[in-house]
Amino acid sequence: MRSLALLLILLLVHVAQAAPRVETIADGLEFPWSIAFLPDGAMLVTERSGRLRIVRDGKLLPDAVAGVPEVLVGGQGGLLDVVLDPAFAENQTIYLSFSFGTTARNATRVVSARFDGTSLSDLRVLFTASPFKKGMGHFGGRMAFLPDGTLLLTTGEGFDYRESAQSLGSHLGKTIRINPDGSVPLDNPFFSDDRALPEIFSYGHRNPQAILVSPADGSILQHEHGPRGGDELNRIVAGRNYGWPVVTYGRDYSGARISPFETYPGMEPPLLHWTPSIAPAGMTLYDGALFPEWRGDLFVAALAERSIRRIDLDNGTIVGQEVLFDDLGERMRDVRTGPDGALYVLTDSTDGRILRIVPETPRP
Amino acid sequence: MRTSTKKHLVAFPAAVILTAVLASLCSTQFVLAELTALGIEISVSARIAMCFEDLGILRSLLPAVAACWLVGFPVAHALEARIGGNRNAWFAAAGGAALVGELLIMQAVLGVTAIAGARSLPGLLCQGVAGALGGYLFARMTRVPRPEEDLDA
Repeated sequence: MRSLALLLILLLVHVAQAAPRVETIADGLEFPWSIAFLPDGAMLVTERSGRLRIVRDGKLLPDAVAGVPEVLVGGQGGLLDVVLDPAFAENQTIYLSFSFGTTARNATRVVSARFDGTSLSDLRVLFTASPFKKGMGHFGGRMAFLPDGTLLLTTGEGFDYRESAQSLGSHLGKTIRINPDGSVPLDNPFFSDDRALPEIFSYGHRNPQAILVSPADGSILQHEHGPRGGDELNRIVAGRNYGWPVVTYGRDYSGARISPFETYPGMEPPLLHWTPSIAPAGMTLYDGALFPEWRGDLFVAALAERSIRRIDLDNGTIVGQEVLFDDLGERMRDVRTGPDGALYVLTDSTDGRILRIVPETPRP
Repeated sequence: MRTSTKKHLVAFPAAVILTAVLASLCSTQFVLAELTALGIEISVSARIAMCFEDLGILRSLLPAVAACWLVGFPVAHALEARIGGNRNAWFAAAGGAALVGELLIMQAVLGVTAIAGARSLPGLLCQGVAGALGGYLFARMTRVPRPEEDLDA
């Protein structure tokens, strides 16, 4: 009898943890890059081609948001991240990151704007990375707010400018921290260093494709693309050097070494690295109600691996990884936790989709 | 098989290998120099080890060198026939120019530099020198003997 009861419990647990169901919320998006959830239940979605789209009541509205600034589109560049102001309900302010300039001379830029439901106004340029670079690779472009109200932005090192990631006189390959009005926080780690650009928060990055702040402890988690191998998940601390291109687990695309070193004094090792590369894109720290067993875990979208990686965190320590949704066979650009507790995923293609991932069966 | 054909079949791979090895070594040295310029200390043993490891790029470099010379060397041959002058110099120039041209075309198409050590102008020129040495070797190995040399033979 006891065995039967145990079997029944195991069966119930199995049903409760049944394979998640994947629903398509919208399709026909041109390389969707980022998603933000509005307080009224709608979603803002950036398309790398330069449009900001609205999904309302589960439908992609045909008209793009008006007033989006001119964006340099090509290669890895275009309209990138969209983030709501922490006080969006009061000030209707959003932040956009994108590539700006020309193919021969470009940079990652951040603007703020007021969003009235259909268009943008009061556009303000908050930050433009310096110096400008040539080529359409490695813009970074992910943003996140810290609990103190300052804004973090990731910048790429521009591919051919990899040594710039080690230069405090360049914004390339950095985490940037600015105030929401574009001014520089006085407590930035290099604010008083005459040889450094004051916006720099951390350095030694290649092409960061996600950054988030843990609501639990305020720690900053970031991941970045390595070259061939050496994709990294990092815990970002103000003023620290994350090593690129001096230390890496990756090789150049030609097969050559980037450096003789995988570790070097004064340079932060990653929490984990993916070798071979999975090409991590967006990331979320899941805290929803629909998947209690996933609470506190990291989810990383992967372009090359065409999957979502679940990183099992136990009090901030990585204890395992799981490859999910690789059966869909799609490049995954972003993954977020929705206000409803579902996971939202953007697929990366000319016919990109917004996927909503929910439990297969109602929770008991 | 004609003697000249045999010479070409031996000389071309030999020259390709020489250039590819030199190009790899040059690239490694320029990559290491960029790191050294950042204040990174690199031991001699680490430098040597990286040089050997980087020879792994020969898998892609050998066909790349061969491909550009399949265009460059016929041009050198035609120019020598039309204009005259030193055959070795024509092939050295063609060997270097073809490799540099190929890297520049790849940079324009891909938007990035295929060989990291060729990102700077000196690094690119070193790749050209590697190509020129290969072109020179090819010309020397395939030279047509002058009549007096034939008599001596």
